[in-house]
Amino acid sequence: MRKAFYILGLLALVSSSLFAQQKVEKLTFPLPAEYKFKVGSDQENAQTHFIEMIPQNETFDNWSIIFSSTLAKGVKGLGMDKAVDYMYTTAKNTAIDPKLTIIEKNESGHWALFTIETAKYKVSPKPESQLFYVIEGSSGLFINSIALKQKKIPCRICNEMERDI
Amino acid sequence: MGLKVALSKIFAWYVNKQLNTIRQNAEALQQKTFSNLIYNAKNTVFGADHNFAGIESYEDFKKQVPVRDYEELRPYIDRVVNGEPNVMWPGKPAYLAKTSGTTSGVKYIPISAESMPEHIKAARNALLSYIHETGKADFVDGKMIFLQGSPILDEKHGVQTGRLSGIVAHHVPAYLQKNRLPSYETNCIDDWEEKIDAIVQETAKEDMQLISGIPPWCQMYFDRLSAVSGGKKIKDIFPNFKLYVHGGVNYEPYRARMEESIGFKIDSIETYPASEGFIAFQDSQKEKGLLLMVDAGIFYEFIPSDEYFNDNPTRINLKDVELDKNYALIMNTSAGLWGYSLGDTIKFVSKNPYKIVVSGRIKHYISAFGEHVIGEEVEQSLMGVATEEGVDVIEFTVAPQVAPANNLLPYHEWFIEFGKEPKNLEAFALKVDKALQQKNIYYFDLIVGNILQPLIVRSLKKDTFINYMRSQGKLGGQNKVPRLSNDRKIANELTTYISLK
Repeated sequence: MRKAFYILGLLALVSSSLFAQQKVEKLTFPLPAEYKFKVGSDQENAQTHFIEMIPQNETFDNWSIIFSSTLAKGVKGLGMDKAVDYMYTTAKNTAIDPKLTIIEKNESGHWALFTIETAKYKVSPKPESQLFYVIEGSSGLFINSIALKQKKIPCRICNEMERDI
Repeated sequence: MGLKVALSKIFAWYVNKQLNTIRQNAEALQQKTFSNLIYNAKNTVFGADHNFAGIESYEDFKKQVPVRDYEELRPYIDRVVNGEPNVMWPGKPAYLAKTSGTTSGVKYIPISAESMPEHIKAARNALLSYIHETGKADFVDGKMIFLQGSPILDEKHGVQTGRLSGIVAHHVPAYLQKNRLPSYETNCIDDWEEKIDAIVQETAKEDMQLISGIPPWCQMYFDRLSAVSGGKKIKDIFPNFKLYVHGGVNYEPYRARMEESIGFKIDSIETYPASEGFIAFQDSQKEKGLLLMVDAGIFYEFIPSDEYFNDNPTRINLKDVELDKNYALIMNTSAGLWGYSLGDTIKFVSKNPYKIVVSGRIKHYISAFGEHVIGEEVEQSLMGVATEEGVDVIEFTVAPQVAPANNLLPYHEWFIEFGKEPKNLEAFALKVDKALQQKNIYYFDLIVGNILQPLIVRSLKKDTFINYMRSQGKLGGQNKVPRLSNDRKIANELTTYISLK
């Protein structure tokens, strides 16, 4: 199954203390292979590196699936409980009864895999669900998500993600 | 789901952790800043002239570097403006911020590659502090407006030059660009009234959630928005308007009228930015004062404001300041300002952490007879009585009348534009006078000793200050009406606007 996944590498530069060399911290994140993704936006500044990807034939105004990856540079020690809580609290402010499911969480390993599924929003009847993979790296906190315009994240995507990360 | 909102909460948590370091280690951070600044500038013209290589302590520094205002530093600044490198800071500045001085005409303040990010960082951290404390972050997904100067920059000897707000406009993070108004084209309009009308057109139908700008000009924006919307309150035009960010002048005299226009008591964040550096911001909705930015490439010094004009005033750094005492703020910056008197006076309201309030301008005072009445005293006296009496003050300025006709006693003359005038102007004036006597003991002595007669209030016609600022070519942007003058330059101009009813 692994070959059915497209691997995205998010690069983060971490300066080495010796010889001013640069080390690269690379996070690989599996994406569903049935979509051909294009990079919709790629913005980086001193605090963040933010990439969004959508299918080739879609736009930001009308997408069926969107992948986003954020590196919050330098952010360490947040803890996975808090990371999940920030995402879920935000969802609760805009969605009607969003459902949080922790697929796997490893506090000591500083990572969490979870979904937030929403049948409808306060201002929109359209569903939207997200699968998150949050992990603390040596250069900061990586927050990756796949969002779909569906009530639930298909089990297939969750299972494959759980196995491949 | 509002991924940006969730991410902002994560950043807010992180920034708060960083700010805790500032809160807990301010003196050490200032010492480190001092050492870094001296080390980095030791090979500049200024560093050589003032023997930076031999400076090992703050005491050494005070002996080598006098306190100077813009005019006194001008010989160095002019060389920077003329394109000479390594004058006050290594290399050439990244920008020259243009400000209008009261005595110096146009002033050029250098902003270096090192100091520019600190302006942006402080503005961002002000918002993130608010998010962290309140948990309110929805505005991040909404539309935002920054009422600012034109982003069109000129070039002076290879250095980009413009108003600070115009320079900052080039550094707004990409993730905020999509939500930001007005458009670049509108922002480029030079004429303030034309610009404000264009902004009203552009924003009236938008979902504005955050508005930022100097209070009198925001008030003008609100008034025009309301006028084109059939007199609606701002909350009815922008139902999701949640946060107002302001700086540049004390908000208190404007607060009541702004909240009346908005239609509710909106959350606000006070900032203290200057072209010379971003000095402080309000990091809490619950506590008084603005958190001093002690790790932003600025080494602060302070002179008690009552000694400022003495020959050898006391000159101290952060560790020796006292609470509730007015100080003139002196800055040494990573853009190459040294012993630079900003002209503002501040007061510490907390030393743990170091928090300040801006109390006025060192040159904005009235001391016709030694009373040394300052901006904070007149603002608090007027606004206290205005609130009690249900009076709406739009804008005001105060000047001494030292030689009234008919041999009457001298007095302080208050020129006030009211939104809602007091029923009895003389009684109102007497109450303000009593309040001022309580705040300033020297003023009290002069009144009791019949040296001064109680203050006199002149009620001004509607839009007086807008018309006055327009006549001075100072409408909008970062321009402000001085609240106090020790001369009658502004007062004499305003006498033609006195309401005769």
